[in-house]
Amino acid sequence: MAEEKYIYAVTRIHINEQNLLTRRNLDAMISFESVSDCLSLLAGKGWDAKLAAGGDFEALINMEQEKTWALIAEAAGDVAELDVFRKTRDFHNLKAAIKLIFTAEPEAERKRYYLPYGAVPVSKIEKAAESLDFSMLPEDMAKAGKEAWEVLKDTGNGQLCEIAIDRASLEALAKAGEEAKSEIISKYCRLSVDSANVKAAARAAKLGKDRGFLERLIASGGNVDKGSLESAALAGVSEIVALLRRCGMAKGAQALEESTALFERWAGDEAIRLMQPMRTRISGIEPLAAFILARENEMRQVRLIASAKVNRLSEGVLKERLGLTYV
Amino acid sequence: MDSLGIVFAVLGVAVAAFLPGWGSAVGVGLAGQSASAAVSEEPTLFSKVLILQLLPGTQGIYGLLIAFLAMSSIGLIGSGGAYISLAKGIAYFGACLPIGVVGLISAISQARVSISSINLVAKRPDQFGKAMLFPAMVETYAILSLLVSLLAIIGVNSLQI
Repeated sequence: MAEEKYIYAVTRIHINEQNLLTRRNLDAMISFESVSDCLSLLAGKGWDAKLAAGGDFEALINMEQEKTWALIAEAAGDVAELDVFRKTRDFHNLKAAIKLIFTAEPEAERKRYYLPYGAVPVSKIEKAAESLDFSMLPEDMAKAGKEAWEVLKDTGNGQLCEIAIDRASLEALAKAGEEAKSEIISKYCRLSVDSANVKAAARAAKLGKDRGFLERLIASGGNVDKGSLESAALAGVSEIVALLRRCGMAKGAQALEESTALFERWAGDEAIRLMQPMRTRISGIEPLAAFILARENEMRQVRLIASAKVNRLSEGVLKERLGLTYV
Repeated sequence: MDSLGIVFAVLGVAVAAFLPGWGSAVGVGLAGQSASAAVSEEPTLFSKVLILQLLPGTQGIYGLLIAFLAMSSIGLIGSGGAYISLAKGIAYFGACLPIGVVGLISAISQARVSISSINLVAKRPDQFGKAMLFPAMVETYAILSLLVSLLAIIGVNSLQI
């Protein structure tokens, strides 16, 4: 009866999927002249009406993230397998905590650098960074924290510190994917690692970075081999495109040929396509994972539309970058 | 050896009552999880999802019906005391198997369809009629096995073995 787990949670999630933004909703938001019309539409879809009326997109998105995790916790309890969606937040917070050691930022201001809803409490990460005793953190974070701190101390190079943590974050994601019992979650983790690696490799290739830098930059654990990607990045973006074709990612290669933004969209769409069949599953962890991903995708799309309204980005460019919706 | 006939017959009664009852208990329990989730999000759905939750419970009732009929036939209830030969006892056991086995399997299968239907009704309450039909399709096979067990027990009653 293992496949009959999470029936209660999955039914609740499926009901809540009705409030997810559809492509039609996004198109309507794009066509609206004013930001307030967009916020009204979001309030109509169950987003916090009070915050929507206040006009603060970031506060609204934070509230919706909180609602997502509160719903998951209420419906399914504390599910360790879903921590893969919180890992990048934990590592981001670790990065922020280490960098904040060198700044005289007031206590109240520090909060804004941290992302909520990680698996590890921010206070614990802050304490580890302040005391330089990372052993109180989970093993992968402790190792990354120690390495990043040493790099920062020895070189004073903030970028290298960031790179060390970003790579460790991806490797932790890959490891979580390997350990996951769900094939869908494993595939999602590998896809996320590939996506981040390829984007980083393409940027490094354009900047003509050397192998030493690439070794620090590229994480292992994706479908694309770390060594092959490093060699391809040394030869240029066209070689990365060829490598993606050899790895069976022809459409991703085609997108990367045009731009990294289009590649990013392709990777996001692939993740959504991977999760879409979960809309009809009646049990298991996967529909919960799919909902979390759908909500994150939705937040990204809303944030993109909000920034496009402010920066007067053209409708065509915006539609190109939005990508698929889950429903 | 003389008493083995009644032993097999009572085993048949146990199979008819136990297996579909087990399937129904599991099925109604699983569907109940989904139903309570639907009601926690939308309380007005209570009556609709309750019917869908109860559908996998019918197999337990069919099993009970066959068990009573078999008990009555072998004399465990009502006017009892008749001698049951080994062949007749095995025949009663065989007659109880269809509802026992099909009842168990169909109750759990029906529960899965009921959960899907509860999800459907929770998303589209106006589709309740269609949502009812899907688990009802599984019921067909429970009814067929009930009929076979019923006719078989009646048939065995009249056998002179």
